[in-house]
Amino acid sequence: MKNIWTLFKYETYRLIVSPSTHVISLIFSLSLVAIFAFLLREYTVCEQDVPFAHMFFRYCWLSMCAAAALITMRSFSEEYRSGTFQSLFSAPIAPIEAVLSKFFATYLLLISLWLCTLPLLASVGIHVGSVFYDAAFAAPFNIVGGISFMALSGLLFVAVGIFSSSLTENQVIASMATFCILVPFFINGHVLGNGSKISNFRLFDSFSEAINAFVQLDNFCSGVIDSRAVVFYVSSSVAVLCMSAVAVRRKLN
Amino acid sequence: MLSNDAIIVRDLTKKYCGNVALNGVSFSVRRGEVVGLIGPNGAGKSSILKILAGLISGTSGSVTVNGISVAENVMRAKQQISFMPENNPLPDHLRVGEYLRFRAELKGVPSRKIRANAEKVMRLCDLYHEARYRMIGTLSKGYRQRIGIADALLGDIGIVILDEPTIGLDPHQIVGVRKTIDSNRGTRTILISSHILSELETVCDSFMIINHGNIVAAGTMDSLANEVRDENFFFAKICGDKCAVRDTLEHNGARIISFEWLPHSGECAVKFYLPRDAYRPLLLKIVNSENLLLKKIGNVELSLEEIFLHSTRRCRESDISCEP
Repeated sequence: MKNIWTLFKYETYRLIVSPSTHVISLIFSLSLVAIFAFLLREYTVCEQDVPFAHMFFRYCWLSMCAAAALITMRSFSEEYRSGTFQSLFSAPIAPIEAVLSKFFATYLLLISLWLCTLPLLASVGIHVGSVFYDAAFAAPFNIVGGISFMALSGLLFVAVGIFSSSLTENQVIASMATFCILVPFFINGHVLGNGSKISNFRLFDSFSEAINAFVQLDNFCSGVIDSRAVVFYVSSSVAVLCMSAVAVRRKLN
Repeated sequence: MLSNDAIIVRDLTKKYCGNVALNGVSFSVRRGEVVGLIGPNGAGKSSILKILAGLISGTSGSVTVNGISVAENVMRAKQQISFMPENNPLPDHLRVGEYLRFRAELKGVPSRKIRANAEKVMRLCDLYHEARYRMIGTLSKGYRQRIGIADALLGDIGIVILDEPTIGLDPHQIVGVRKTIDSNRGTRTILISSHILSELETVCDSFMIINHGNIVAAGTMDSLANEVRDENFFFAKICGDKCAVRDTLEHNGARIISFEWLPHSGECAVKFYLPRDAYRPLLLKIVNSENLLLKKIGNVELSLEEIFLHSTRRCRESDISCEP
């Protein structure tokens, strides 16, 4: 594991200098600003029950899935395509080291993008909330809870992206696979903003509720840290990363 | 205590989806030796090199580098080997110096020596003044090849494997690579795979010829030449019509290796292989021919290219099938 830091620096640099990272980051940021502007208009037109920050994170799910899929798509696919994969592994590197370094570098980028939204939300809390609404409009615990959930779920989303990328040298297929795997975390059993069930099976319902990102997001934004969610996201991320390491090892052969 | 052999390969077999790429290959490479691995496309050269470098695993058999089994301890084995893959793909977004420092770090060069080590190999490969600060993506094929060679020479790694190192290099650069290899002779074990046989002939101490997943010949240039000399290789100068010379030789069991028409003297200079019992009848046939005049005949010293062509052809035609 001694090479992880070296590879992490290399991967972070690779992401920073890549034009596609800048394009994806810009699109992601613009989508967040658009959501922010839309919600701000809605909230200033009529009073809402749900706090602003809470609703903002709810609306960001599609951007989150797309960003995770697009940022991670190059991680291994590009190495396979260009052939640098072989040069990289001619050095004494274990597949898990390569997987973890790419994971941490991409995760750092995703979290950095999320942290960029903090000034927007904070400005709403300070300026708008104090004028039109009460303190709960954009309370700090809503913002911190939302960001914490995005950080927690981001572990799994990035891990899934790395896994998809480790399976194919086609970046488009990798990103589509990631997106298709991630979307069910948001729409399994619940539709956005609507609690209607799609199944009559109790076991399925309880399972889908346990992994439903909106349910977890609601808890976090309300200031409730559900340990089941923490265990689920952390353990599933570890499992997916291990599967990625196996996929990379198989690609070598 | 380490044995005298840096690389030991025993009964190595590699199958890809049922297709046999290596068929029970065995060989060893002595410490400090420069060995050339030669073979036609698809013979199994790259498979051998990748297995040695720990990039892929063999289906059966054993590979040991500096006494470490590659199959059992791939990470330790990789620390003993520096590998430059064919075509040498490189990340385009790094500068040459940055890339070599990154590779040195990965190869376990102590952090206080990384910069000096990277500069040393850049000087060795003629990269220091011209390309040190340039982005790899903007460099020509020749530069990229030299970066690959510099990468392979990073650190104090005892075994260096170079897959087609001189592809894309101009003659000056090839001489430079030859000097670099010469300067490492005796201190590092170097295994080179190449199609440029004349190049290998000048830098390698010994050779292995591989065909259809089998080692068909191995040894020093002298031992390989001796091996094929026993099988009667001849050089002859014969005056006469080109077609008549060719027909006479071929109809009497000779296998022509090279045929050159010398217009100024009206002679044909021919190198050919001839079975032992066919020598006398052929000689009589030429001497008795009215159209042909034998000017000179004798045994010939074969080049590596000719040995290679003969060995790979012999494998194809031998009773023991070489087909996978």
